[in-house]
Amino acid sequence: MTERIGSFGPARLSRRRFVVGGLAITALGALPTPGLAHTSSRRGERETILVVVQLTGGNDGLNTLVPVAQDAWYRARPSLSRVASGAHELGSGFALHPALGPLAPLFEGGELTCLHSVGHPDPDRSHFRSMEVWHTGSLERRSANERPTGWLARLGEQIIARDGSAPAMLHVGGGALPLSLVGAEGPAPSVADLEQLRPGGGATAAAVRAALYAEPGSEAGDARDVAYLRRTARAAVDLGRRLEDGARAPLAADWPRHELARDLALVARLVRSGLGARIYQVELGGFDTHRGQPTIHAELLRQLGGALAAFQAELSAAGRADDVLTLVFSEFGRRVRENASAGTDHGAAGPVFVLGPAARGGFVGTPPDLEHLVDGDLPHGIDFRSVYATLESRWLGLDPSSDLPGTAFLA
Amino acid sequence: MKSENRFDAPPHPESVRTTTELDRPTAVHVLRRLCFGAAPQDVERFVGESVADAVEQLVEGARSTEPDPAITLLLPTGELGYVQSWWCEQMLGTPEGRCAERVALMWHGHFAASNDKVDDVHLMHGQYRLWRERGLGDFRQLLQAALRDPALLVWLDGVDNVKGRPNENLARELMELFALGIGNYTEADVLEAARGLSGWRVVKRAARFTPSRHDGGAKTVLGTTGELDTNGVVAAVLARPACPRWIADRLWRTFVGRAPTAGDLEATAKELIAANWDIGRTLVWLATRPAFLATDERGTRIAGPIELVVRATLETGARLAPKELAESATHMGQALLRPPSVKGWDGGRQWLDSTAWIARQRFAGRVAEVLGDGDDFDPFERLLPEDPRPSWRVAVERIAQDSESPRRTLVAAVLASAEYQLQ
Amino acid sequence: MFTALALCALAELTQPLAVREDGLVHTPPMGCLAYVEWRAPQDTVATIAGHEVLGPMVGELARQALGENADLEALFAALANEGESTADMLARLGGDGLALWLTFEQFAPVFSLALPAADAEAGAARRIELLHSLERMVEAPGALATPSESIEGVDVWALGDAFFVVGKGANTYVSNSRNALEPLIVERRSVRGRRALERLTETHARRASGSDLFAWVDIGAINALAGLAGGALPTEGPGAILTTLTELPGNPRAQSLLGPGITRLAEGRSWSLRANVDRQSVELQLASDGIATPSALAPTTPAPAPVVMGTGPNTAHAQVYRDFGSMLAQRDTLFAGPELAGIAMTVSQLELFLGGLTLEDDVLPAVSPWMELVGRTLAFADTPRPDLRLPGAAIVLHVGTDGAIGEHLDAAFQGLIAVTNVGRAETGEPPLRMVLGRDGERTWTSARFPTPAEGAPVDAIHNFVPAAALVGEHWILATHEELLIDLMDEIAAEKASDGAAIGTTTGARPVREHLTITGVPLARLAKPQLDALALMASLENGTSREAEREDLEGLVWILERTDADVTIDHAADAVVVSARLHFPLVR
Repeated sequence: MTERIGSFGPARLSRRRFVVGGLAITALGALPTPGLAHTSSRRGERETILVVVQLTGGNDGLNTLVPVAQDAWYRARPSLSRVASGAHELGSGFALHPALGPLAPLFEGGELTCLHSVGHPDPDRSHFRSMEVWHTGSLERRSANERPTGWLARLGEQIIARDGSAPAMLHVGGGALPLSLVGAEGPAPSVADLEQLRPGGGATAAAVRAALYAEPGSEAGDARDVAYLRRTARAAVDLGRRLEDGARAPLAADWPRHELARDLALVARLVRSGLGARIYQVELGGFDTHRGQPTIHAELLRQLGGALAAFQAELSAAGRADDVLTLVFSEFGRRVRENASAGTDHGAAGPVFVLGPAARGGFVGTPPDLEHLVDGDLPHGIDFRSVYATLESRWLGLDPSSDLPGTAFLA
Repeated sequence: MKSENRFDAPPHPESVRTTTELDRPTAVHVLRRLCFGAAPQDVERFVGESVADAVEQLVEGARSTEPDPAITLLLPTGELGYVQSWWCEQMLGTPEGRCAERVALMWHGHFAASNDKVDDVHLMHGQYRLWRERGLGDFRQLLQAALRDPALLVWLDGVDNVKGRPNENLARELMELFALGIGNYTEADVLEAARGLSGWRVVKRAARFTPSRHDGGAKTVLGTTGELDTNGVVAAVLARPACPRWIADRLWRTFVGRAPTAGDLEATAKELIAANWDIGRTLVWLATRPAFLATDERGTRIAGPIELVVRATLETGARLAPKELAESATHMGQALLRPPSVKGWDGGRQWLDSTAWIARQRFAGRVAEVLGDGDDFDPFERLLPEDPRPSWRVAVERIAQDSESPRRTLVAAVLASAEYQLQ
Repeated sequence: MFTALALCALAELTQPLAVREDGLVHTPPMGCLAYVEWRAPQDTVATIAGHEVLGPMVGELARQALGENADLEALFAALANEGESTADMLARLGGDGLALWLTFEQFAPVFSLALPAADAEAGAARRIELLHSLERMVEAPGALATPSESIEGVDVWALGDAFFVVGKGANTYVSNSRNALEPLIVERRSVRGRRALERLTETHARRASGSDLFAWVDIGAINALAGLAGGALPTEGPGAILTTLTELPGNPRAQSLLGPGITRLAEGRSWSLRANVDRQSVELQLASDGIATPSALAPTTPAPAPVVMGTGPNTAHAQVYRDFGSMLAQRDTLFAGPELAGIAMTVSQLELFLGGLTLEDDVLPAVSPWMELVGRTLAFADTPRPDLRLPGAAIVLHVGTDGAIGEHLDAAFQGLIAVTNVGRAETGEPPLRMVLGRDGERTWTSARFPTPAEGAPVDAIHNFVPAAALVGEHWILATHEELLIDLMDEIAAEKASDGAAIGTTTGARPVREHLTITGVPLARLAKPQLDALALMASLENGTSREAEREDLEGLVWILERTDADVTIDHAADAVVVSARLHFPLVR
């Protein structure tokens, strides 16, 4: 078995030192040398995987996990409360939006855990700021010139430092790379569609590879970055091939045909193929429902529910469901009171969902109480950083980014 | 302006042999850095001229060039893609025109407005015209004009900056990103400057100053006190010694490709002041320094996607449609008129994540595919003039020999090589 | 006449030309993916050559087709005499008709040509002529004097391994692959080959009769081949058309714009094209046969009689079937990807104007999917003379006898004007003026744009006056008030005369969409935009503005001389698109 980078030094060896040592590369996603083993699954040890699903725009949590037993909800939402009929009862006074039907059986089976009122002490109504807080896992305010690092990217750096596995993390989808995956050493690889990672075949591709794989010469004193470039280029070619191999795997579940489903299907394929990445992020946008919310929100949740259910089914079929937890979050919830355009405006805390049999199922945290609001918003009950802490330390086995105690939602 | 900014004209301390005749590799280097690259006939034109003459011709000649006005026909479509494609096409013009475009691209990255927020191709094109027409002139005027540019006012919420409800965004970026850099101003300066910049709206795609929305009270910005308006705030910023250094830094990173030393920075800032803030004259000076010309300074800078696609097109003569150039650059991570953040593109190693690398390799294949049959050239000699015999040449030639079109295979391999990504 | 005789013989054929044998061997063109049969090249070439519209049009198409198929170009070049054009060569060798077919070997295209003759003697004479021209090409007189092989009366001449000529009775075959001709040399049958032949023969019998040109494409086989070659359908070259068509059904915009006919074309198992050409018109008919599943969006009932005058002042008139109700109700199964969110967004935006009604449950079920579109050029006022002279366009929806939906649509139109004005107020633009028109019984709503102030950034004056009205069972939305009023009058008159004006025919109406276009006004419309269009094309294609402009001018020139009727016939397992181009100015 090929020697791992991790064996070169202590587990917490910093990412920067690896770069100085010439062993690692940016884009975290790449292999230092073609011969290095790329799978991180350790014999006898479980390879846990975290998939983050981001609902961009501020999901209306109160119409997602609906407090059907609270009169205040009906009063605050005379038109939006129509979703109560047809909602899927979960017990304890809550129900899932009618469009989230596919998730109801998962809840019953204990594979869906709902965390009430997740947020933080410094809510902000700006999309940008709120997303930055969730992406960096920190409430610190920075000037524009300070480069914040993403919480997932920091985890990825730890994984590479420990296991030498690559790619540690992957962004799947056509949108811009989220800040959560931008680390000190550069961005995570992003797969919009596999076509983009297909280097092509034939003599041309062979020659291109020959130019990149030829003996690189000494790296020392090379001010021209040639060796660096050659290494990252090889890594890209290599990653492209492996992703392509992984993505060829046939699917077992019955997948809907929308974009989120396509992205999650790719994640499922890559998980099954043993690509070795332990962190994935995908997004579903359009949740900024200031106007005409009923149709848009139902459509988005329909996509979300269908894709997540198919994803879980796919993982179960592959026998990998126990290895994967999926975190579903949005940068903020929306205001409790609906506005005059059958929509809702930016609010504060909202529910977070964790999918997978490894979580304990049911509800976690104090249910939101619509009679006691702060500035017309739901105050947070669970700090999102403590959710991160649990995922970081207890699920992925890494060092958490904050000192907050974790939240008990794992089985 | 304060007297501390008045530097004496520098005595050109380094001994630069700017009278040396340009050989071919040096001509290619100068043309790549100043105007994206060169078709063979452009190289021939400059080989044999002195470095000083060549640089002078390019930069001074650039001032009188004009982009093709036809794009205004397509602005009503609202399609940014046309403007992106058209701009790429402009970057393939004469060497002088390309030099003006290269400078415009620098300012675009410096001020970094994106159509994602501005959402009006008329405004984005208007801003491009500003960089293109005045980018080589007096930076003081450029900065004044930029702060009144409708696209920038929308981009940084200048239009929401109203007396009594100041929006700091534009004021902050003016100091942090456009003119001074962090550490050269205080939060109080930002707040006060925001008051001074208040009162602008964009009406019918034009910037309009509305006195009733302007905070006309006294404020102190960077040590200057008065009833400052945009003029006054910009003047106060320009008066800081950090300002010419900040612009000098931008010129170094763009044209030399690395951060300048403290001494280099000081000398360049002095030169900028001595040239009455004229960017063109400062660029002529910079491009005749050893730091720009010396052989070990060549090929040290990772080319950005736009630079790469334009250079490859010019140097190979491949007939790629402007639209394809713009789209290829987008795949490589540089969508024109859509920079990723207020800071523009990070550049350097950040250009090359895995997806971007694959996009560069695919582009290389595509160039080779559309290569004309008639124009036969040695890809190594033409595309890697500094080192036409890299270690991998033999291996690649062996593969190429057995391929259907050896020349196309070689061109693709060279274009996708690590060496070609540098300039 | 020789040609006439040949035509008589051909007219009796029930089998494709290339397959017809004189009792020697009976084999299909094996693995044939595409087949073209041209009955009388001489006549067609004579019609087209010198035709002021068809000449340049067909010439350009042929140039493009050959430019993209190097192998075919090489084959034709080998057959042509020095200085002879491809058209002249085909007319000369194809005196008794010709057939061309495409097969694939190792994923490379192989073209084969069949040249029948009236009898064996004529066939032998044709072969000698052909072999001589080949000898001249390779500058080796006499090299092909004797066949390189003779197998049971079939002669084979080989020019290296690049070119093969087979003579069999009256027929001569030419190909750049011996494999492709092998089934003609030695009898061999395969299940795959026979099926292809059966399909071709069947389609041929059904569609080819009486047409000058017949073409057949095996879509199923091409898809299978693309699958073998690595999955992806071609994104460039002629094959890209197929790829594009394949993607249309899942695209709601394509479904809305092009409709269920065009979007279904790629779903067929094979295509056949027939063409008839004379000096005054060209008839083209493209049929997509063997569509496995019926479309949820295609019409199953005949179109109602149109209410807009089909002739006269219209630049364009169409009666189309767009089942937006089913598109919305079945969007899950019909569409994929980001389209669904886009649909939801569009729907919720439209519903903002519908006063609580939903499109899916309230509005669309009440509106007939059969709708009429009309385009007309309009007269313009001289003051203020518009800078942009937009042609008029209108959509006529059948909303039934219950006026409620029509009133809601009227209200939605008024709401739209109000919301537009909110947006204009935000940008400091003066508002649109909403005018409620009344003339006797007729009422309508229109929105007038203010005349822009001098020096405003956008100061073009245009003649756009959007207007909407409910007339009886129809709701009209038009770009111009005057067009709306004209249509209201016409529909009212039409109703009074009970359809007599249109000349409604009794008997079964076909399930057919139609589109009629008059070229002259379109050309007039395109002319002032040529610079913008040329710039668009040049940025996209990397060509010069001048070259694109020249092309466009050519197109306008053709448009000025061409009218078109397009019909789309729907059946459960087939779509037939027919186009008839008329050249009213050509004598």
